[in-house]
Amino acid sequence: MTIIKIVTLAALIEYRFRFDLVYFCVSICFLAILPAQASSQETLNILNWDDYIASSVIEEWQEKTGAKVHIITYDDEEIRDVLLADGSQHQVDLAVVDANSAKKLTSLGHVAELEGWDTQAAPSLMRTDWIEQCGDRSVPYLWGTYGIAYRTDMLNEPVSSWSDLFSQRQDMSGHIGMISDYYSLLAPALLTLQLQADSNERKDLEAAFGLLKEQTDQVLTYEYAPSFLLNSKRKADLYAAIVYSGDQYTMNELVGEDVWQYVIPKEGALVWLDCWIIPSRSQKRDLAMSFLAHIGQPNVAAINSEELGVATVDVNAYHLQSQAFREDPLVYLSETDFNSLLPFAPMSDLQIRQRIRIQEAIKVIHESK
Amino acid sequence: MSLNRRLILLLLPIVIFGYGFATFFVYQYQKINIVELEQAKLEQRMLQLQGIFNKEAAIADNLVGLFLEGGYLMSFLASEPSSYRDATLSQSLHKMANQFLTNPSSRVAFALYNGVGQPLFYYERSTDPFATISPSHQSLSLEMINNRSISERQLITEESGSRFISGRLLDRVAFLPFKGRDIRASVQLSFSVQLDQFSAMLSHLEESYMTTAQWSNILNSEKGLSHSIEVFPGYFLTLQPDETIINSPMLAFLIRLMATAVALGSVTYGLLLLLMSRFITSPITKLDKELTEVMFYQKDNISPTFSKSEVGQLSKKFYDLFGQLQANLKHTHQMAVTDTLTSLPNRIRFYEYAKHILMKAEQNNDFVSMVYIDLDNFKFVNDTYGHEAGDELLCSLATDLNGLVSFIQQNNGSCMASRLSGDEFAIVLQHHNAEEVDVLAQSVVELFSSGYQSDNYHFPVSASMGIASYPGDGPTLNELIASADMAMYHAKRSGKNRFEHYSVSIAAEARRMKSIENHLKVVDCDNEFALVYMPYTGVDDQVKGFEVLIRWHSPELGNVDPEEFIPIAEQTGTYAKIDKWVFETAFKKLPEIRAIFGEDCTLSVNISAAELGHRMALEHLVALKKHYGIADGSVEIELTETFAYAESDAVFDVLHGLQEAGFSIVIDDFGAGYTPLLHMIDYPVSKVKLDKVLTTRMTGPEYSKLLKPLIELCHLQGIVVTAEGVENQAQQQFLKEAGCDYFQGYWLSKPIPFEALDAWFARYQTLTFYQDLN
Repeated sequence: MTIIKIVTLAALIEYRFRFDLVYFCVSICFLAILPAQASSQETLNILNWDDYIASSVIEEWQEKTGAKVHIITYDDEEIRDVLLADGSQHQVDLAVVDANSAKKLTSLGHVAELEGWDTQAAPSLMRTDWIEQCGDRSVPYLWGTYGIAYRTDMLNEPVSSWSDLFSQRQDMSGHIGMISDYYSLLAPALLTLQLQADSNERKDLEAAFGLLKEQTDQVLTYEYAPSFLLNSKRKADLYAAIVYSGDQYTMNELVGEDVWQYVIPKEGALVWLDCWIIPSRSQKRDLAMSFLAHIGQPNVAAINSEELGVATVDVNAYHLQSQAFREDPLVYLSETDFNSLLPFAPMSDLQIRQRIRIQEAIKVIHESK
Repeated sequence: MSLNRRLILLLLPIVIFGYGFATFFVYQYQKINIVELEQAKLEQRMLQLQGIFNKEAAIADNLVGLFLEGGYLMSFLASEPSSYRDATLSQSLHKMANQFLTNPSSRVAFALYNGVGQPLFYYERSTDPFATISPSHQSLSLEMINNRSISERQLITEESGSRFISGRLLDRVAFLPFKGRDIRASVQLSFSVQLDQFSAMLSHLEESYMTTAQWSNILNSEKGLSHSIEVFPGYFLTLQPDETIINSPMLAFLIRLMATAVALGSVTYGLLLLLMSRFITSPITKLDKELTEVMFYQKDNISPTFSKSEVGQLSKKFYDLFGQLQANLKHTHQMAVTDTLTSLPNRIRFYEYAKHILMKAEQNNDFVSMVYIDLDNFKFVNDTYGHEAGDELLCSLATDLNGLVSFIQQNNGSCMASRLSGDEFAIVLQHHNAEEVDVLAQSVVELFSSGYQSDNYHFPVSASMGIASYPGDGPTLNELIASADMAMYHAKRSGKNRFEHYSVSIAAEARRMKSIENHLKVVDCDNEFALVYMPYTGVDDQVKGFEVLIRWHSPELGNVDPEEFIPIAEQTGTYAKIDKWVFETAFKKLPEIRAIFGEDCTLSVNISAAELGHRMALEHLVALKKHYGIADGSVEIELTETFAYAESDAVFDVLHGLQEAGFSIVIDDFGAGYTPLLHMIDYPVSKVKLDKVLTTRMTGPEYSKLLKPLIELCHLQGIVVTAEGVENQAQQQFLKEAGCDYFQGYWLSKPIPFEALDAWFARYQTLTFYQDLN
């Protein structure tokens, strides 16, 4: 298996980005009514992916502090970032963002300092560069890969590579779930074409666009797969989708069967790292710091990680986890694989803009069919 | 040519002409209409196109307005350049575009420039992620900055499609229309909207009108079908449809019109033919057919009609005419089959009826008998009592016969009496028992038991009847009739007032008669006929003359008795030839006879009574006498008994003529028939010859005393008397004493052939010599 190590975690995570009008509106409206609810009891507003903190961890912290946790769920990084970058709109106290966004938001002044947080001491990170990737105002949380989940009961043959998504396979036709995030959308196409996943060459992007355009006929949705399974009436038609590792558990839960199988495509594993940030607008930084301290304890982190099926960043926590979990190659990549990842050069705004335009055009083409 | 065919040929050009003209005018009229309609349609579509343009162009203006109202420009310019800022603006623009343009593939572009013409942001919603700002869009923006134009609206018409751009030049801080001096304090923004619907409709119009729309800056007025609109100030769009646009619907219309005309024409033509046939020719044809049937007797008359139409009236007149004709025909037929005098059915009816009865009898195994009735002595009645009396006799007899027939008919028999001709009647009877016809025939005989009694007269007539019966006497009507006829003649010859059934012997006799008749027609007189001479003597016993008698020896029939063939000759008209030969032969022989028997010797020649009616016969006889130079008084003409009935002026004339010509008239067979005494007074008779029977009786003891007065009576009239059939000397003596002048008979001699006359005379002289000696 040839593994192409492509990105730094920071760069990878920054481009987990999409925007969706409906979610955008819902989120804005939801946040607007938050102050009324928070008046009587102290509430910690956490902006997070769905099912991305173990409920036992939250309950434990609530008992300990007497405060209440309110989870605000997102499924679109672009919307999340736009929200966090707009200083006048939200009341988020704590947020899970990808490492790249964490650094970018920090540089734009939207992230508060971690007051009283000893970045050197705790946690003991499995990778020392992670703290640098998240930035000095962020706390690394969980990490994983980026691959394909497929229905073992519906497809004739297993899915093993990114090129399967573009192969025009009969059993997958009309049952593919892509992703609207500009980076995650383009990378599989570029890898299939045996190009660099972060290439900004015009001809490479044009070739990738051509492949994606050709694929639109085969695609069922560009919505994030767990969200699609949660919301769409056609969830039974989705057989294969681009997802983040760990999503397969949520997806199996949503369909009520253990049918979704996660694979790391043979062209290469794309790796991501999520970090905690406290938005600079937050009025409850102490409470947020308290939560971070709680979830940063190795035993809590270990339980949280194993329950979610996603790898922890804390080496102490790692050692507290079960052997089966620790040896799951889909969760914890081998040292060799991990070391072969290529460094990722950050993209300019213009380069990002070009990718967004490609993503938008693909969506326009898909919708007009 | 039949009426129907003529109709077909007459109507066809009318229908073609009518519909052709109608089609032509409709086409001309419709052509104008179609052009006007197409023009109106074009104008309406162009108007619609204008509307679509207005709607789509307004989107650009609306986007500008909405963009400015939404404050997006302010937050964009206030934010640090970052992908988040770009994404935020991009999201906003996307949202706005989706709001106005429901078609997700419609191209929308937004461009933002700063006061020195540097691009700040470009957004495009399209399927081409690599597309950049179009040159026209860019040049508009830069021109606005250069010209400090605060607002521009521009229509771009390109091959790929039309776009509309709406741009603003604003103050960078206040976002009001830029009025400042330093252009760097300005910002220029513009929205470009792809006019998809407009372009789509325009290309649809171009395609459907098969033409290319022309953009121009001035209004072009084209001739014919075309229309121009000012889409946007200074932008004129002209659409001139291809000629085929008009021509092809016109052609289609023409084809449709012609098809309709042909269809309607055919229907009209068919209907006209049908109606004409139904109401005009068909009644005529029907009438013609009926008339034909009537003509060929398949129908009595045509069907009566109550129609008031001309044909109906014609039909009615034909009906009436045929009715009259038939009534006349019936009447004529009735007349034709009815005897006018007696009102009995006539011969024609007799035949019809007989045929009919024969067919019936054949089926029922019955007999059919023909009773042929011929009155005896009817001519005598006519001659004696006059024709009126004769007619009365016939009518009365008809009534009687009808009475007999009616009696049978009342008893369910089939029977009919008819008058065939003159005094010939016939009765046809269908009967089951053979004897029935005898009863009928006997009834008829009984009508004549003692002559016939009518209302006014008693007629001395009787009836002879012949009966022939089917099937024994002949299988067909003609044979039956012939048989009955034969039987009737036989009855007549057998003594009259009787009926005879047809029999084989009668048939044989009839054949014999027929044979004689046929031979007589071709008889070679000189070779087959011969004269024999029967002498008579005077009171001095000297031979005074001879009665010339004819003998016939036929090579086929042998010797035929005169009594057999003379009546046949008389009936069939060959007697004239025989008479002529007899006279001519007698005339030739007279000199030779006179040479033997002396110059006073006379010849007596029998003449047929039938000859006496003809003046021609007289003239002929006179000419012959003259030819042979016969002296007057040398030849006597003996009239047979039948002469008695020939009482007419013509007979008188002939007799007088003969007498004047030097012939003596002798009445033969006196006393045997009905010869009236008056004849001896009225006619120029010089001699009577007493019949053999009379001679025998008068010389007998009973009537001898009458002989002398009778002879004296004749003598008183200057008539000499010859006694025929003298058989012995005593008779001769007695007659001589009674004053009889001449004597003829076997006592003297049988008839002697000419060759034997010499010898006989020699013997007679010897005989008389010796008698005298005694």
